[in-house]
Amino acid sequence: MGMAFVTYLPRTLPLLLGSEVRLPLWLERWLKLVPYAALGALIFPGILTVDPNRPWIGILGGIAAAAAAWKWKNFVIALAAAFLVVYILS
Amino acid sequence: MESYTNLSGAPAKARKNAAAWEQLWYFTKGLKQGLPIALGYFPSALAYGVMALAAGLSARQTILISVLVFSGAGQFMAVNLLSGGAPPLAIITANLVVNLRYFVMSASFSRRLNVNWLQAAIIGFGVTDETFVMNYLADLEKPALSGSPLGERGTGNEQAVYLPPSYVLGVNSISYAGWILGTYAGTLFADALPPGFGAGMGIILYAMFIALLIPAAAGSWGIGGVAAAGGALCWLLSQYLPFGWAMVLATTLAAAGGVIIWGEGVDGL
Repeated sequence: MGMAFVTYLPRTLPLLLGSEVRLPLWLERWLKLVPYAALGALIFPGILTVDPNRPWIGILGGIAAAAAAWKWKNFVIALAAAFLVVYILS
Repeated sequence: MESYTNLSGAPAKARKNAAAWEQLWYFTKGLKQGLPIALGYFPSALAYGVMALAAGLSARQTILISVLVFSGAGQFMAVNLLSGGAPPLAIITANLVVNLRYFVMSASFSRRLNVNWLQAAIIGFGVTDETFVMNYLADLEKPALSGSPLGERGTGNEQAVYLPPSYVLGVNSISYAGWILGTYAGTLFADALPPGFGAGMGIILYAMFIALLIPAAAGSWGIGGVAAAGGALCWLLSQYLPFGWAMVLATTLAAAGGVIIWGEGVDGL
């Protein structure tokens, strides 16, 4: 239950305070870049653990997703491509 | 939605009705766009369910934790520590560390929301790595209605576009449902999992991150650079630090680097 609390608090506090507060420009810009930095940090080391014994499988799946997303600009196709590549390889 | 386009002279009741429809439209859109997250959560939650039972928790405790906590990294870590015999205080402290990244995310997310405290309290519960990114980068076409909740406001000399809370709630709800259903399935089928099931499903979340990143990065060197720096830093730092810290630091530093290098205006923001 303590776990629920320490998970909920950092999620909600900034939302409760945030929308009222005006921030300096550099901080606004920083906050706008956070999602992209977070995306990079979520993708990269994590994708190696898709198959912990064979990290290249995750990388190939990621490349398939990137290529498909680039070519067709479609979410579902990108997911399907990555899934197929990983499924076939493993 | 066509029939609602011209409401300028409509009686108040009809306008209220239209606003309710609009909320529903956004909620449904959120549900649809959140579906890939739910599909990605299902196998992760299933794995969590299996691990939690193996660590000695009952099925009821396992599911209750998913309902109350709703955090993949935190729950996996808790189960790991639990099976290692860690005391509750250690588990709670470790969770706080892993969850610090939500603080950074929610601070960023708050720039795209204009909500009252109750909405903030409900939306805040559903903030995860995945829902945050999906919500934040949402590219919503307005329904053909005047007075859309996608209001605009100046922040400094830049413009912020607000997300409709009902859309965010839609994305969060379906993700939450996927997480809980996956946990339930994990407690049911703990003994009968097909081998190799995880890997194919495990790639889904990453493919989703990539599909979110590619369009933005394709239009801007700055965004691509910040994301690449985030990944490289997180990998480097995670050699020395627990994942939560590594991610908080990598995100903070990469975004700060972006501001310093491209501060005058990253394209596409």
